[in-house]
Amino acid sequence: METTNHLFVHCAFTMGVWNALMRWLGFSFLPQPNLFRHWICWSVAASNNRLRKGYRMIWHAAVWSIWRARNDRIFNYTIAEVEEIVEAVKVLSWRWTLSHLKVSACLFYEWCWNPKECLLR
Amino acid sequence: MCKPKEEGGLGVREVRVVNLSLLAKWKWRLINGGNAFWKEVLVEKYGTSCVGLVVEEEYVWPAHTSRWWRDLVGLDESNWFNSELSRKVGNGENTSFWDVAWRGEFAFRYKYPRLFSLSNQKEACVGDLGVFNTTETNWLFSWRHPFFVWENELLMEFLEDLEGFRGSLEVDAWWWRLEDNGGFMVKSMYKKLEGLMLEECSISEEQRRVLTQIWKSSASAKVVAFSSKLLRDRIPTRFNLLHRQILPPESSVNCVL
Repeated sequence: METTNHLFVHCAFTMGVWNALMRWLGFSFLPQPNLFRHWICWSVAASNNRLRKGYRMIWHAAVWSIWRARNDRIFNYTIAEVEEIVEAVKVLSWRWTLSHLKVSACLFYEWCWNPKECLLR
Repeated sequence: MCKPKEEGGLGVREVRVVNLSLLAKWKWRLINGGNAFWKEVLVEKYGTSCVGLVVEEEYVWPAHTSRWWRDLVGLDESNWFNSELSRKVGNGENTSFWDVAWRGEFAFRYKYPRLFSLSNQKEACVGDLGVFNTTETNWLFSWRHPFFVWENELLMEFLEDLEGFRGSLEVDAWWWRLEDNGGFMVKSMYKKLEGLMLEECSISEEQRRVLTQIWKSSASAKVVAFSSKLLRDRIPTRFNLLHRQILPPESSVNCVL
């Protein structure tokens, strides 16, 4: 059933996205009952303020991309794979690092390769 | 919008709650002191008991009953008004000894039903039973028959409750618990009702923290605004659309992902 909790926390597709992003950032935690808990676990995975700010930005990019993917399926009949969503999250968050985050710019491949280092630069 | 500013709202007052608070003020003025002309009109129209707002539950109001009066009488269904009132006894002349909770949380007739049934003074006021002087109060009780041993224990407990009571020359009055000076204020009524009626206020400390945190982000504003709606479950998922009857009842609510 398409509830907020299912769509953003428990759905197998969504879990695939979250897990891939966690592998990218180098941490993991068990499935959480709701988005509040998810946000908190996501935040405490960062060891300092700068990382936390970056991780939270990626969290926003992730829920936004998941919602976009859902809308695309319903209204545009396009089906994106988990990998494409993960890629979209990376691109979106990279663009935000360039425009908003006060870190020195990094290249997209650096961002994909080691986001932590880019955030701490 | 209607939440206090500290909780992310705009502090605009919710009009239904304001209405109830203002009606409550009428109620306060009705039960509290003074012989205003408008009260005499009410007594003529609805009977003497109306000033105390003692109305039988199934009472059928006549057709000429005003909308305002119906609302006022039916106001306090869940006891949000009465529970903030206590009786401050001065000379005790118009406070019923057994029926009104003037000492402690309950009226004596409910706290000590056995003693009440034995009393010969069921209708008496506090001032009829107590003889006040400067240092103490002597109670003049009259009971139907001498007490049994177990009833004596009840009596001791009962007298303990009365211990320390001092009358005064002032007239008995109602006391509004939500204000330090005991006078009714629409503001304190609103605050209480707001807590009871506007459920959005009842989020946990943890959730409140998260809802503050998400705004401090370098993500773009529209995305953060989306996340805020998302966390409060205000996004148009199929389930929410069905719940709000925007989708027809037989539509599928399956997840498409």
